[in-house]
Amino acid sequence: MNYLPLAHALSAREDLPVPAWLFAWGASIVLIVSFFALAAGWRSPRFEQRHERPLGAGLSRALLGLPAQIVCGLLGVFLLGVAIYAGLEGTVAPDRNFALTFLFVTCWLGFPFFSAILGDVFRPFNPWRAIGRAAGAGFQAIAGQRPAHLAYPERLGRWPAAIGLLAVVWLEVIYGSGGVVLEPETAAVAALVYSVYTLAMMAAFGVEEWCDRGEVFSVYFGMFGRLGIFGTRDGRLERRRPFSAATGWATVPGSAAVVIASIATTSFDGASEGAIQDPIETVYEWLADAGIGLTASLRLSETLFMLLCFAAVALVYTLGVRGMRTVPGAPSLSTLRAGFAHTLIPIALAYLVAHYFSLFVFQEQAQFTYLLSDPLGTGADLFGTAGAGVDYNVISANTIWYVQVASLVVGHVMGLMLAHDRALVYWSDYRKATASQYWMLAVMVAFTCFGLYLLSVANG
Amino acid sequence: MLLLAHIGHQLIWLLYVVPVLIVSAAIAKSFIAQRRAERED
Repeated sequence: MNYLPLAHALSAREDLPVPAWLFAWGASIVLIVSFFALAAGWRSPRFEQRHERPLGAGLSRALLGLPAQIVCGLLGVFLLGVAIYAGLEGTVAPDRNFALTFLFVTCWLGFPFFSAILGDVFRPFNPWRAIGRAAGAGFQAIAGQRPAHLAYPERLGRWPAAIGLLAVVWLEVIYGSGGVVLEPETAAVAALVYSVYTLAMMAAFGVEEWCDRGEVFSVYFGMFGRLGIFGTRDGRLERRRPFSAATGWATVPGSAAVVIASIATTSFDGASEGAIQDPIETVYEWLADAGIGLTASLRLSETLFMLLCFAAVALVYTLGVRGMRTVPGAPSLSTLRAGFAHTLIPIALAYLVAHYFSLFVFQEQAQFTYLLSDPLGTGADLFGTAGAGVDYNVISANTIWYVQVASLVVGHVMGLMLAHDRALVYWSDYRKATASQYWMLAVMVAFTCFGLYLLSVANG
Repeated sequence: MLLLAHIGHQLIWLLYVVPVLIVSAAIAKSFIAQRRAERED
Protein backbone atom coordinates (compact mmCIF):
# COMPACT_ATOMS: atom_id res chain seq x y z
CA MET A 1 0.00 0.00 0.00
CA ASN A 2 2.51 2.51 -1.12
CA TYR A 3 0.32 5.56 -1.25
CA LEU A 4 -0.13 5.15 2.48
CA PRO A 5 3.32 3.89 3.36
CA LEU A 6 2.95 3.93 7.12
CA ALA A 7 -0.54 2.51 7.22
CA HIS A 8 0.56 -0.56 9.13
CA ALA A 9 2.26 1.47 11.82
CA LEU A 10 1.21 5.06 11.91
CA SER A 11 2.53 5.42 15.40
CA ALA A 12 5.04 3.30 17.25
CA ARG A 13 3.68 0.81 19.73
CA GLU A 14 3.76 1.89 23.32
CA ASP A 15 5.54 -0.40 25.75
CA LEU A 16 4.02 -3.86 25.72
CA PRO A 17 3.84 -5.79 28.98
CA VAL A 18 6.21 -8.43 27.55
CA PRO A 19 8.60 -8.42 24.56
CA ALA A 20 6.94 -8.98 21.17
CA TRP A 21 8.70 -12.33 20.67
CA LEU A 22 7.07 -13.70 23.82
CA PHE A 23 3.72 -13.32 22.05
CA ALA A 24 5.02 -15.82 19.47
CA TRP A 25 5.89 -18.24 22.26
CA GLY A 26 2.48 -17.73 23.86
CA ALA A 27 0.71 -18.22 20.53
CA SER A 28 2.67 -21.45 19.98
CA ILE A 29 1.60 -22.73 23.39
CA VAL A 30 -2.05 -21.92 22.54
CA LEU A 31 -1.67 -23.91 19.30
CA ILE A 32 -0.09 -26.90 21.07
CA VAL A 33 -2.78 -26.93 23.76
CA SER A 34 -5.50 -26.64 21.07
CA PHE A 35 -3.91 -29.52 19.20
CA PHE A 36 -4.06 -31.85 22.18
CA ALA A 37 -7.56 -30.68 23.07
CA LEU A 38 -8.66 -31.60 19.53
CA ALA A 39 -6.89 -34.95 19.82
CA ALA A 40 -8.66 -35.70 23.10
CA GLY A 41 -12.16 -34.50 22.35
CA TRP A 42 -12.73 -34.56 18.57
CA ARG A 43 -12.80 -38.14 17.35
CA SER A 44 -15.09 -38.09 14.32
CA PRO A 45 -15.42 -35.66 11.39
CA ARG A 46 -17.89 -32.86 12.04
CA PHE A 47 -17.53 -30.63 9.02
CA GLU A 48 -17.83 -33.18 6.23
CA GLN A 49 -21.54 -33.81 6.58
CA ARG A 50 -23.98 -31.16 5.41
CA HIS A 51 -25.35 -28.93 8.15
CA GLU A 52 -27.33 -26.41 6.12
CA ARG A 53 -30.65 -25.07 7.32
CA PRO A 54 -32.75 -23.43 4.58
CA LEU A 55 -33.99 -19.95 5.39
CA GLY A 56 -37.51 -18.75 4.66
CA ALA A 57 -38.70 -18.88 1.06
CA GLY A 58 -39.79 -15.22 1.19
CA LEU A 59 -36.36 -14.08 2.38
CA SER A 60 -34.67 -16.17 -0.33
CA ARG A 61 -36.93 -14.68 -3.00
CA ALA A 62 -36.26 -11.15 -1.78
CA LEU A 63 -32.48 -11.55 -1.63
CA LEU A 64 -31.88 -13.95 -4.52
CA GLY A 65 -34.73 -13.17 -6.91
CA LEU A 66 -34.27 -11.55 -10.31
CA PRO A 67 -35.05 -7.98 -9.13
CA ALA A 68 -32.37 -8.23 -6.41
CA GLN A 69 -29.90 -9.74 -8.89
CA ILE A 70 -30.51 -6.86 -11.33
CA VAL A 71 -30.17 -4.18 -8.63
CA CYS A 72 -26.97 -5.69 -7.17
CA GLY A 73 -25.48 -6.26 -10.63
CA LEU A 74 -26.24 -2.70 -11.73
CA LEU A 75 -24.74 -1.35 -8.52
CA GLY A 76 -21.56 -3.37 -9.12
CA VAL A 77 -21.27 -2.15 -12.72
CA PHE A 78 -21.97 1.45 -11.64
CA LEU A 79 -19.31 1.43 -8.92
CA LEU A 80 -16.74 -0.15 -11.24
CA GLY A 81 -17.60 2.55 -13.77
CA VAL A 82 -17.19 5.30 -11.15
CA ALA A 83 -13.79 3.90 -10.10
CA ILE A 84 -12.56 3.71 -13.70
CA TYR A 85 -13.89 7.18 -14.52
CA ALA A 86 -12.35 8.65 -11.35
CA GLY A 87 -9.04 6.99 -12.22
CA LEU A 88 -9.03 8.35 -15.77
CA GLU A 89 -10.50 11.81 -15.19
CA GLY A 90 -9.80 12.56 -11.52
CA THR A 91 -6.83 14.03 -9.71
CA VAL A 92 -3.48 12.28 -9.95
CA ALA A 93 -3.09 12.54 -6.15
CA PRO A 94 -3.61 8.91 -5.08
CA ASP A 95 -5.03 9.71 -1.65
CA ARG A 96 -7.60 12.18 -3.05
CA ASN A 97 -8.87 9.95 -5.84
CA PHE A 98 -11.77 7.53 -5.28
CA ALA A 99 -10.27 4.85 -7.53
CA LEU A 100 -7.34 3.51 -5.52
CA THR A 101 -9.00 3.39 -2.10
CA PHE A 102 -12.16 1.88 -3.57
CA LEU A 103 -10.40 -0.81 -5.60
CA PHE A 104 -7.50 -1.72 -3.29
CA VAL A 105 -9.00 -1.16 0.17
CA THR A 106 -12.80 -1.14 0.13
CA CYS A 107 -13.15 -4.02 -2.34
CA TRP A 108 -9.84 -5.88 -2.08
CA LEU A 109 -9.94 -6.01 1.73
CA GLY A 110 -13.62 -5.43 2.44
CA PHE A 111 -14.98 -8.37 0.47
CA PRO A 112 -12.69 -10.95 2.16
CA PHE A 113 -13.52 -9.59 5.62
CA PHE A 114 -17.30 -9.58 5.09
CA SER A 115 -17.36 -12.78 3.03
CA ALA A 116 -15.59 -14.65 5.82
CA ILE A 117 -18.50 -13.77 8.11
CA LEU A 118 -21.54 -13.74 5.82
CA GLY A 119 -20.60 -15.98 2.87
CA ASP A 120 -19.81 -15.01 -0.70
CA VAL A 121 -21.13 -11.42 -0.80
CA PHE A 122 -19.15 -10.51 -3.93
CA ARG A 123 -21.04 -12.84 -6.27
CA PRO A 124 -24.23 -10.73 -6.57
CA PHE A 125 -22.23 -7.50 -7.00
CA ASN A 126 -19.64 -8.93 -9.43
CA PRO A 127 -19.80 -6.41 -12.33
CA TRP A 128 -18.27 -8.75 -14.92
CA ARG A 129 -20.67 -11.56 -14.01
CA ALA A 130 -23.59 -9.13 -14.30
CA ILE A 131 -22.43 -7.91 -17.74
CA GLY A 132 -21.73 -11.48 -18.90
CA ARG A 133 -25.14 -12.72 -17.80
CA ALA A 134 -26.89 -9.73 -19.38
CA ALA A 135 -25.00 -10.33 -22.63
CA GLY A 136 -25.92 -14.04 -22.51
CA ALA A 137 -29.58 -13.20 -21.94
CA GLY A 138 -29.47 -10.71 -24.82
CA PHE A 139 -27.89 -13.30 -27.11
CA GLN A 140 -30.54 -15.83 -26.18
CA ALA A 141 -33.34 -13.33 -26.84
CA ILE A 142 -31.96 -12.50 -30.30
CA ALA A 143 -30.63 -15.89 -31.45
CA GLY A 144 -33.26 -18.00 -29.69
CA GLN A 145 -30.63 -20.26 -28.14
CA ARG A 146 -28.10 -20.17 -25.34
CA PRO A 147 -24.56 -19.16 -26.36
CA ALA A 148 -22.22 -22.11 -26.99
CA HIS A 149 -18.98 -22.28 -25.01
CA LEU A 150 -15.69 -24.13 -25.17
CA ALA A 151 -15.06 -26.88 -22.65
CA TYR A 152 -12.89 -25.51 -19.83
CA PRO A 153 -9.62 -27.49 -19.58
CA GLU A 154 -9.99 -29.45 -16.34
CA ARG A 155 -6.25 -29.45 -15.61
CA LEU A 156 -6.15 -25.65 -15.80
CA GLY A 157 -8.42 -25.54 -12.75
CA ARG A 158 -7.94 -22.39 -10.68
CA TRP A 159 -4.40 -21.70 -11.90
CA PRO A 160 -5.52 -18.63 -13.93
CA ALA A 161 -6.96 -17.19 -10.71
CA ALA A 162 -3.78 -17.96 -8.76
CA ILE A 163 -1.62 -16.24 -11.38
CA GLY A 164 -4.10 -13.36 -11.58
CA LEU A 165 -3.95 -12.95 -7.81
CA LEU A 166 -0.17 -12.60 -7.97
CA ALA A 167 -0.60 -10.08 -10.81
CA VAL A 168 -3.10 -7.93 -8.87
CA VAL A 169 -0.83 -7.79 -5.83
CA TRP A 170 2.17 -7.12 -8.07
CA LEU A 171 0.36 -4.08 -9.50
CA GLU A 172 -0.68 -2.90 -6.05
CA VAL A 173 2.53 -3.50 -4.12
CA ILE A 174 5.42 -3.71 -6.57
CA TYR A 175 4.49 -1.56 -9.57
CA GLY A 176 3.99 1.44 -7.33
CA SER A 177 7.02 0.99 -5.07
CA GLY A 178 10.22 2.90 -4.44
CA GLY A 179 8.86 6.36 -5.12
CA VAL A 180 7.05 5.35 -8.32
CA VAL A 181 3.51 5.99 -7.22
CA LEU A 182 0.71 3.79 -8.54
CA GLU A 183 -1.36 6.46 -10.22
CA PRO A 184 -5.15 6.27 -10.28
CA GLU A 185 -5.00 6.33 -14.08
CA THR A 186 -2.80 3.20 -14.12
CA ALA A 187 -5.25 1.39 -11.85
CA ALA A 188 -8.17 2.45 -14.07
CA VAL A 189 -6.42 1.25 -17.24
CA ALA A 190 -5.60 -2.05 -15.47
CA ALA A 191 -9.28 -2.38 -14.51
CA LEU A 192 -10.31 -1.78 -18.12
CA VAL A 193 -7.80 -4.31 -19.47
CA TYR A 194 -8.92 -6.85 -16.86
CA SER A 195 -12.58 -6.22 -17.79
CA VAL A 196 -11.91 -6.93 -21.48
CA TYR A 197 -9.93 -10.08 -20.61
CA THR A 198 -12.60 -11.33 -18.20
CA LEU A 199 -15.49 -10.75 -20.58
CA ALA A 200 -13.57 -12.52 -23.37
CA MET A 201 -12.94 -15.52 -21.10
CA MET A 202 -16.60 -15.55 -20.06
CA ALA A 203 -17.63 -15.55 -23.72
CA ALA A 204 -15.24 -18.43 -24.37
CA PHE A 205 -15.92 -20.69 -21.37
CA GLY A 206 -19.21 -19.46 -19.91
CA VAL A 207 -19.92 -16.94 -17.16
CA GLU A 208 -20.33 -19.30 -14.20
CA GLU A 209 -17.52 -21.62 -15.29
CA TRP A 210 -15.05 -18.73 -15.52
CA CYS A 211 -16.26 -17.21 -12.24
CA ASP A 212 -15.71 -20.53 -10.50
CA ARG A 213 -12.26 -21.20 -11.97
CA GLY A 214 -10.48 -18.27 -13.56
CA GLU A 215 -11.96 -14.94 -12.49
CA VAL A 216 -9.52 -13.71 -9.89
CA PHE A 217 -11.90 -11.78 -7.67
CA SER A 218 -14.70 -14.38 -7.73
CA VAL A 219 -12.29 -17.16 -6.81
CA TYR A 220 -10.41 -15.12 -4.21
CA PHE A 221 -13.43 -13.61 -2.44
CA GLY A 222 -15.42 -16.85 -2.89
CA MET A 223 -12.63 -18.74 -1.09
CA PHE A 224 -13.15 -16.60 2.02
CA GLY A 225 -16.90 -16.86 1.53
CA ARG A 226 -16.61 -20.59 2.23
CA LEU A 227 -15.91 -19.70 5.87
CA GLY A 228 -19.11 -17.67 6.22
CA ILE A 229 -22.44 -18.72 7.65
CA PHE A 230 -24.72 -18.13 4.64
CA GLY A 231 -24.79 -19.94 1.32
CA THR A 232 -27.17 -20.76 -1.48
CA ARG A 233 -28.41 -24.03 -2.90
CA ASP A 234 -30.95 -24.46 -5.70
CA GLY A 235 -31.85 -20.78 -5.52
CA ARG A 236 -32.53 -20.93 -1.79
CA LEU A 237 -30.65 -19.09 0.92
CA GLU A 238 -29.39 -21.33 3.70
CA ARG A 239 -27.58 -21.02 6.98
CA ARG A 240 -24.67 -23.34 7.57
CA ARG A 241 -22.08 -24.15 10.21
CA PRO A 242 -19.18 -21.64 10.02
CA PHE A 243 -16.17 -23.05 8.10
CA SER A 244 -18.11 -26.14 6.98
CA ALA A 245 -18.36 -25.07 3.31
CA ALA A 246 -14.58 -24.77 3.15
CA THR A 247 -14.24 -28.58 3.10
CA GLY A 248 -15.50 -28.79 -0.49
CA TRP A 249 -13.54 -25.81 -1.86
CA ALA A 250 -10.21 -27.32 -2.87
CA THR A 251 -11.54 -30.08 -5.13
CA VAL A 252 -10.57 -28.07 -8.24
CA PRO A 253 -6.89 -28.24 -9.37
CA GLY A 254 -4.91 -25.10 -8.56
CA SER A 255 -6.95 -24.27 -5.44
CA ALA A 256 -3.93 -24.80 -3.19
CA ALA A 257 -2.00 -22.34 -5.36
CA VAL A 258 -4.69 -19.68 -4.80
CA VAL A 259 -4.60 -19.89 -1.02
CA ILE A 260 -0.81 -20.17 -0.95
CA ALA A 261 -0.59 -17.08 -3.22
CA SER A 262 -2.84 -15.22 -0.77
CA ILE A 263 -0.62 -16.01 2.23
CA ALA A 264 2.57 -15.39 0.26
CA THR A 265 1.58 -12.00 -1.14
CA THR A 266 0.42 -10.73 2.25
CA SER A 267 3.66 -12.01 3.78
CA PHE A 268 5.66 -10.31 1.06
CA ASP A 269 3.87 -7.00 1.58
CA GLY A 270 4.65 -7.15 5.29
CA ALA A 271 8.19 -8.47 4.89
CA SER A 272 9.22 -5.97 2.23
CA GLU A 273 8.69 -3.22 4.81
CA GLY A 274 11.11 -4.78 7.27
CA ALA A 275 12.24 -8.39 7.42
CA ILE A 276 13.48 -8.73 3.82
CA GLN A 277 14.12 -5.08 3.09
CA ASP A 278 17.92 -5.50 3.19
CA PRO A 279 18.08 -8.54 0.83
CA ILE A 280 15.76 -6.75 -1.61
CA GLU A 281 18.07 -3.72 -1.58
CA THR A 282 21.11 -5.93 -2.13
CA VAL A 283 19.56 -7.57 -5.22
CA TYR A 284 18.36 -4.17 -6.40
CA GLU A 285 21.92 -2.81 -6.22
CA TRP A 286 23.28 -5.83 -8.15
CA LEU A 287 20.74 -5.31 -10.90
CA ALA A 288 21.24 -1.55 -10.99
CA ASP A 289 25.03 -2.05 -11.16
CA ALA A 290 24.47 -4.46 -14.06
CA GLY A 291 23.04 -1.57 -16.06
CA ILE A 292 19.34 -2.24 -15.65
CA GLY A 293 17.33 0.95 -15.04
CA LEU A 294 16.63 1.90 -11.42
CA THR A 295 12.84 1.44 -11.56
CA ALA A 296 13.15 -1.85 -13.46
CA SER A 297 15.81 -3.07 -10.99
CA LEU A 298 13.54 -2.34 -8.05
CA ARG A 299 10.54 -4.03 -9.64
CA LEU A 300 12.62 -7.05 -10.69
CA SER A 301 14.16 -7.49 -7.23
CA GLU A 302 10.78 -7.20 -5.51
CA THR A 303 9.15 -9.55 -8.03
CA LEU A 304 11.89 -12.09 -7.33
CA PHE A 305 11.25 -11.91 -3.58
CA MET A 306 7.49 -12.12 -4.00
CA LEU A 307 7.96 -15.33 -6.00
CA LEU A 308 10.39 -16.59 -3.34
CA CYS A 309 7.71 -15.94 -0.69
CA PHE A 310 5.28 -18.01 -2.77
CA ALA A 311 7.85 -20.81 -3.04
CA ALA A 312 8.61 -20.65 0.70
CA VAL A 313 4.94 -20.89 1.75
CA ALA A 314 4.40 -23.72 -0.76
CA LEU A 315 7.48 -25.50 0.62
CA VAL A 316 6.31 -25.28 4.26
CA TYR A 317 2.87 -26.61 3.27
CA THR A 318 4.43 -29.39 1.18
CA LEU A 319 6.67 -30.42 4.10
CA GLY A 320 3.59 -30.70 6.31
CA VAL A 321 1.78 -32.79 3.72
CA ARG A 322 4.83 -35.00 3.08
CA GLY A 323 5.09 -35.59 6.81
CA MET A 324 1.52 -36.90 6.84
CA ARG A 325 2.47 -39.43 4.16
CA THR A 326 4.71 -41.19 6.70
CA VAL A 327 1.70 -42.17 8.81
CA PRO A 328 0.46 -45.70 7.92
CA GLY A 329 -2.71 -45.71 5.83
CA ALA A 330 -2.09 -42.29 4.29
CA PRO A 331 -3.62 -41.56 0.88
CA SER A 332 -1.49 -40.37 -2.04
CA LEU A 333 0.53 -37.17 -1.87
CA SER A 334 -1.66 -35.42 -4.45
CA THR A 335 -4.80 -36.35 -2.45
CA LEU A 336 -3.27 -34.98 0.73
CA ARG A 337 -2.03 -31.82 -1.00
CA ALA A 338 -5.50 -31.00 -2.32
CA GLY A 339 -7.30 -32.45 0.69
CA PHE A 340 -5.71 -30.11 3.22
CA ALA A 341 -5.52 -26.93 1.10
CA HIS A 342 -8.75 -25.58 2.59
CA THR A 343 -7.15 -25.63 6.05
CA LEU A 344 -5.00 -22.70 4.90
CA ILE A 345 -8.01 -20.43 4.22
CA PRO A 346 -8.39 -19.26 7.86
CA ILE A 347 -4.65 -18.60 7.87
CA ALA A 348 -4.89 -16.50 4.71
CA LEU A 349 -7.70 -14.55 6.38
CA ALA A 350 -5.70 -14.18 9.60
CA TYR A 351 -2.75 -12.79 7.64
CA LEU A 352 -5.05 -10.33 5.84
CA VAL A 353 -6.62 -9.11 9.08
CA ALA A 354 -3.27 -8.89 10.84
CA HIS A 355 -1.58 -6.92 8.07
CA TYR A 356 -4.38 -4.71 6.81
CA PHE A 357 -6.87 -4.28 9.65
CA SER A 358 -5.50 -0.85 10.59
CA LEU A 359 -5.27 0.29 6.96
CA PHE A 360 -8.88 -0.74 6.42
CA VAL A 361 -10.11 1.13 9.51
CA PHE A 362 -8.24 4.30 8.56
CA GLN A 363 -8.93 4.31 4.82
CA GLU A 364 -12.63 3.51 5.13
CA GLN A 365 -13.02 6.77 7.02
CA ALA A 366 -11.69 8.48 3.88
CA GLN A 367 -13.81 6.30 1.61
CA PHE A 368 -17.09 7.19 3.29
CA THR A 369 -16.35 10.87 3.84
CA TYR A 370 -14.25 12.97 1.48
CA LEU A 371 -13.71 10.36 -1.24
CA LEU A 372 -17.45 9.79 -1.49
CA SER A 373 -18.24 13.51 -1.65
CA ASP A 374 -15.33 14.37 -3.93
CA PRO A 375 -14.48 11.20 -5.88
CA LEU A 376 -12.42 12.97 -8.53
CA GLY A 377 -10.57 15.18 -6.07
CA THR A 378 -11.66 18.30 -7.93
CA GLY A 379 -13.21 20.17 -5.01
CA ALA A 380 -16.77 18.83 -5.28
CA ASP A 381 -18.86 18.22 -2.16
CA LEU A 382 -21.70 15.91 -3.19
CA PHE A 383 -22.75 14.79 0.30
CA GLY A 384 -21.31 17.55 2.47
CA THR A 385 -18.47 15.37 3.81
CA ALA A 386 -15.62 16.59 1.60
CA GLY A 387 -14.01 18.47 4.48
CA ALA A 388 -13.77 15.44 6.79
CA GLY A 389 -10.48 13.74 7.52
CA VAL A 390 -9.07 10.49 8.84
CA ASP A 391 -8.85 10.13 12.62
CA TYR A 392 -5.69 8.10 13.20
CA ASN A 393 -6.38 7.99 16.93
CA VAL A 394 -9.55 5.94 16.49
CA ILE A 395 -7.48 2.87 17.43
CA SER A 396 -4.21 2.86 19.35
CA ALA A 397 -1.05 1.17 18.12
CA ASN A 398 -1.27 -1.31 20.99
CA THR A 399 -4.87 -2.21 20.08
CA ILE A 400 -3.72 -2.87 16.53
CA TRP A 401 -1.00 -5.18 17.85
CA TYR A 402 -3.46 -7.14 20.03
CA VAL A 403 -5.88 -7.50 17.09
CA GLN A 404 -2.98 -8.75 14.96
CA VAL A 405 -1.90 -11.32 17.56
CA ALA A 406 -5.49 -12.46 18.19
CA SER A 407 -6.27 -12.84 14.48
CA LEU A 408 -3.14 -14.92 13.89
CA VAL A 409 -3.80 -17.19 16.86
CA VAL A 410 -7.52 -17.67 16.09
CA GLY A 411 -6.84 -18.20 12.36
CA HIS A 412 -4.24 -20.88 13.03
CA VAL A 413 -6.36 -22.65 15.64
CA MET A 414 -9.19 -22.73 13.06
CA GLY A 415 -6.73 -24.10 10.52
CA LEU A 416 -5.69 -26.83 12.97
CA MET A 417 -9.34 -27.66 13.60
CA LEU A 418 -10.13 -28.03 9.88
CA ALA A 419 -6.98 -30.11 9.38
CA HIS A 420 -7.82 -32.40 12.31
CA ASP A 421 -11.35 -32.84 10.97
CA ARG A 422 -10.07 -33.73 7.50
CA ALA A 423 -7.49 -36.14 8.95
CA LEU A 424 -10.32 -38.07 10.62
CA VAL A 425 -11.75 -38.63 7.12
CA TYR A 426 -8.50 -40.13 5.80
CA TRP A 427 -7.58 -42.08 8.96
CA SER A 428 -10.58 -43.62 10.66
CA ASP A 429 -8.37 -44.48 13.67
CA TYR A 430 -8.25 -41.18 15.56
CA ARG A 431 -4.79 -41.98 16.95
CA LYS A 432 -3.35 -42.18 13.44
CA ALA A 433 -5.26 -39.05 12.46
CA THR A 434 -3.72 -37.23 15.42
CA ALA A 435 -0.25 -38.56 14.55
CA SER A 436 -0.64 -37.22 11.01
CA GLN A 437 -1.47 -33.79 12.37
CA TYR A 438 1.80 -33.39 14.28
CA TRP A 439 3.15 -32.20 10.94
CA MET A 440 0.38 -29.69 10.42
CA LEU A 441 0.97 -28.45 13.97
CA ALA A 442 4.55 -27.67 12.97
CA VAL A 443 3.27 -25.86 9.86
CA MET A 444 0.82 -23.80 11.92
CA VAL A 445 3.42 -22.90 14.56
CA ALA A 446 5.82 -21.89 11.77
CA PHE A 447 3.23 -19.69 10.05
CA THR A 448 2.20 -18.10 13.36
CA CYS A 449 5.74 -17.27 14.46
CA PHE A 450 6.65 -16.05 10.97
CA GLY A 451 3.56 -13.83 10.84
CA LEU A 452 4.26 -12.34 14.27
CA TYR A 453 7.90 -11.78 13.37
CA LEU A 454 6.90 -9.88 10.21
CA LEU A 455 4.47 -7.74 12.17
CA SER A 456 6.88 -7.04 14.99
CA VAL A 457 9.53 -5.87 12.52
CA ALA A 458 7.10 -3.83 10.43
CA ASN A 459 5.52 -2.21 13.50
CA GLY A 460 8.91 -1.37 15.00
CA MET B 1 28.51 -2.40 23.01
CA LEU B 2 27.00 -0.74 19.99
CA LEU B 3 28.07 -3.66 17.81
CA LEU B 4 26.54 -6.16 20.24
CA ALA B 5 23.30 -4.19 20.33
CA HIS B 6 23.24 -4.19 16.54
CA ILE B 7 23.84 -7.96 16.39
CA GLY B 8 21.12 -8.44 19.00
CA HIS B 9 18.71 -6.48 16.85
CA GLN B 10 19.66 -8.47 13.74
CA LEU B 11 19.28 -11.82 15.48
CA ILE B 12 15.92 -11.15 17.11
CA TRP B 13 14.34 -13.49 14.55
CA LEU B 14 16.05 -16.41 16.32
CA LEU B 15 13.66 -15.94 19.23
CA TYR B 16 10.73 -16.45 16.83
CA VAL B 17 12.28 -19.67 15.49
CA VAL B 18 12.64 -21.30 18.92
CA PRO B 19 8.98 -22.54 19.17
CA VAL B 20 9.20 -23.95 15.63
CA LEU B 21 12.42 -25.79 16.52
CA ILE B 22 10.92 -27.20 19.73
CA VAL B 23 7.81 -28.51 17.95
CA SER B 24 9.87 -29.86 15.03
CA ALA B 25 12.30 -31.60 17.41
CA ALA B 26 9.41 -33.18 19.33
CA ILE B 27 7.87 -34.45 16.09
CA ALA B 28 11.21 -35.81 14.85
CA LYS B 29 11.79 -37.59 18.19
CA SER B 30 8.34 -39.15 18.11
CA PHE B 31 8.81 -40.13 14.45
CA ILE B 32 12.14 -41.86 15.17
CA ALA B 33 10.70 -43.64 18.21
CA GLN B 34 7.75 -44.84 16.13
CA ARG B 35 10.05 -46.18 13.38
CA ARG B 36 12.20 -47.94 15.96
CA ALA B 37 9.13 -49.56 17.54
CA GLU B 38 7.93 -50.73 14.09
CA ARG B 39 11.33 -52.29 13.36
CA GLU B 40 11.39 -54.10 16.71
CA ASP B 41 7.88 -55.49 16.09
